[in-house]
Amino acid sequence: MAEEQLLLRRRRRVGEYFLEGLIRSSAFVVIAALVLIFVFVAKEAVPIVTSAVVHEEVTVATMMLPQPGGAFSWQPVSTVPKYSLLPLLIGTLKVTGVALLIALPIAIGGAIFTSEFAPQAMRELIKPAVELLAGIPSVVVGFFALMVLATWLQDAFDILIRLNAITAGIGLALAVIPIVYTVTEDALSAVPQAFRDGSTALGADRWQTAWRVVLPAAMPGAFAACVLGAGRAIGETMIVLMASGNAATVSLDPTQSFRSFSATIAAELGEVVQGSPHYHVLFFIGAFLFLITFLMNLAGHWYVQRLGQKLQGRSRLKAKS
Amino acid sequence: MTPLIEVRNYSAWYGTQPALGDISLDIHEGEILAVIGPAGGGKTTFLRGLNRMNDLDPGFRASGSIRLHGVELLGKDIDVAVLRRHLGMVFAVPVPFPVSVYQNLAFGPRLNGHTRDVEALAEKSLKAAYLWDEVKDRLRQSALNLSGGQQQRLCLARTLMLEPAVLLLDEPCSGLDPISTAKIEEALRELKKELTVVLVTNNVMQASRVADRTAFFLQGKLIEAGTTQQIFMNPSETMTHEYISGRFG
Amino acid sequence: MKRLIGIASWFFPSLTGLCCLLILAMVVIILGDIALHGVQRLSWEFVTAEPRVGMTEGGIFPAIFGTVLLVILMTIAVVPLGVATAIYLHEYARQQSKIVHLVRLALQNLAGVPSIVFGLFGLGFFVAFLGSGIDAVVFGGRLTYAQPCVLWASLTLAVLTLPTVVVATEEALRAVPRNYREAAYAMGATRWQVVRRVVLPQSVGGMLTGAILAISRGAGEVAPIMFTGAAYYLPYLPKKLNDQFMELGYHIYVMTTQSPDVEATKPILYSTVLVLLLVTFALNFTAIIIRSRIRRKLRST
Repeated sequence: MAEEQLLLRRRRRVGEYFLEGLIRSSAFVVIAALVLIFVFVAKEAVPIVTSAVVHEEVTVATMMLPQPGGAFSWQPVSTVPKYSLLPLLIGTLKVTGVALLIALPIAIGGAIFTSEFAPQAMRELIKPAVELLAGIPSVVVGFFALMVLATWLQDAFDILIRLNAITAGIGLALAVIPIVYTVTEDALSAVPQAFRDGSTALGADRWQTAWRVVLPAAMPGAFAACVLGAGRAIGETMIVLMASGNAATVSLDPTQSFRSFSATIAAELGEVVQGSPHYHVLFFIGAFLFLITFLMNLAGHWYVQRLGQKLQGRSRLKAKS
Repeated sequence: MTPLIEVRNYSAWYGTQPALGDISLDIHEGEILAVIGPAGGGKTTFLRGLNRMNDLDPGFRASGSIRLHGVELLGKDIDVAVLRRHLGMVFAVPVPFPVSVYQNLAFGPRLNGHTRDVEALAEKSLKAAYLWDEVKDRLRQSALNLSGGQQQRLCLARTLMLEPAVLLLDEPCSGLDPISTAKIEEALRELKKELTVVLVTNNVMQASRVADRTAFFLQGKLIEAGTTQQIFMNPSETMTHEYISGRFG
Repeated sequence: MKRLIGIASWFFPSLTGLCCLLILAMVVIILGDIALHGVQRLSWEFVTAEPRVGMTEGGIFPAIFGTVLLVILMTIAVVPLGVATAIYLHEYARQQSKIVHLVRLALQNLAGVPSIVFGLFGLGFFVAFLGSGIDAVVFGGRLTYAQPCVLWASLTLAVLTLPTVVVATEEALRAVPRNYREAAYAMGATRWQVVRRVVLPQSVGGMLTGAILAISRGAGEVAPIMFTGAAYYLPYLPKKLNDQFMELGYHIYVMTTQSPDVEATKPILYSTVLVLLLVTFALNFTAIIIRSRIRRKLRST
């Protein structure tokens, strides 16, 4: 009996204990990574608010308010450095707007077609094509926009400046389409087949079913797709850096060159003196970009989750009745 | 004679849902105990309580006492991994791993770091499971190529590789053809010379064919337990009589 | 009214079909243009030779070498971490627990952080913080690791590709039937033994998919490595972890935007783009094939 007792007593397994510790801590590394990203980007941005030395050149106020003479310029390397964020904000919004204007209808339309109307063969063609599109590195898209697209657009529409918000916006749309398409398509195919059957049984045709039944049911998903796509567009760097012309203009004209937040960091961080006001301003922009995209991602995934709850809740109701 | 396993006032819940109420039952060394009753009556919960497989379910809770050789099995200091080797289990659906027949058999010994004598033990276990003649030439082939009945006997042999003191069988013949079922029953009759068997079955006839004693579970309660002959010929509860005679089930 | 509905019932579906065609057309045009122009200068010499005459002649071997080195180091860092995280999420943690929720949230958001922010992070954390720390403690303040180099660039990419590896591995873990785990537990396996001997051997494919997708993503990213280790031109190949390196994507970026004579470098540039595309697509293609096998397994169980 004593022997049995001994046999069943819990044994220490040191090796396993150690490995399990590693596995558990790895999960915390993920959380830590996200926190560290913000902390280390924000750390270099803080002097903008706190450092007297930096304040001699730039403050949060001078970045927002008009400069003497009423101008808003971004000229960080002139003898009197100027750090107005307005041209960058306008540039970012301009290119994001153009990209979304092109990407959202195409991606959502494509997703609707794929999930509601497309024959199987078409489906098997379009899905890998979208994956292929998603797999193109953004530097390649940027290259294509700069070398090919810009020339085509200039020839076709007789635009004065080769690199502008339309060129970059189309390039950016290529990066946004896969995200919006995938999330929307997921949402549409999560809608139970019974919804469609029910609608068809009431005499609706396939378009009416898609438009009046399936799309409203999948709405949070489609909305999430738009938010996630916008987040990607705001943060995307290489395409804009290569195809925007990088002139910090204050103009809403999409045929003008422009400069975005992300491209500014990419273009200037390489030549900046570490610890200089300019350096801190670039990190300040980075922290801002992080926060904006972070919030958009939170919102996007919140909507994806809500879609799941919505559809589940409905099918549970259905199961009861 | 002190029983091998003493179950006293064992109750179990999944979340807030009670699954077993106040079970007290003895299991004797060297016997085949059949547990019968309609589906959802707590047979499987009882069986999985014995080797604490239920612990894997995050919402599971149990109270009472289960003693093996006088050792409390529900205690916190019990090493469930060791316990489960003493009380080997075979499931309703055969679950061979997608590796060779031999690797399936060697899985248990390897967990313990045993590598010697595995081949001899494998042959013995396969013979005990009435499978040796059918697979002796294909030990290196994938276990998934075996028929359903063979797979289940392989799972039985795999459990025997652990050299358990008790064998817990959860409706092991539920999906099998009559010939495979007969072979497993034959194996059990031989095996009880060396170990103790608890057989959960929804096949009343199977209980009457192989069991020394039978326990009848209904809606989470133990209605009655006794020798198989007594339960089948002269049950003391009318519910038992009605179940065995097929009035419900 | 009836007629309007009739028109709508074919007009709108055709419109959505047109969207699909547009997407297809975009893919075909981009890839076609690059393949057509890129193939002209593509040769064995091109991928094995050093660049010559201000990069208008010769090959791109150093950039290929640097890219390969970069993604190998990245893989060594990201795969163990990503696989361990997936194992934690799927095998260890209680589902629906707060921690799991938090880790998933972190993963989703990590995947959405702009790549240029990863570049800032790599510079601020790895180069300036870790690098300086190592130099101060190990090298007595001598500048060794407090500078952009292949180690820091690969670690930055490892953080960026972490969600990819976790998601792919978790999908593979999900494809391992619950039954297998139960059978192993019933034979007296501990939780680690179940993971090590049943679950992991069954999910090798998923880990491989994750690694390949991460490599393909990592090989194409430029913004995170611009300030953490990539160089436009180096006369030597990187030999130590704290050497800088040439990289295909960065090479494309600099040649496209800063070349003094774009027309002269154009053929070489196109071929470089084609090489990068071929590498990433070959990797993606492999991953898609492995993944579709896993999904089939997932459906059949």
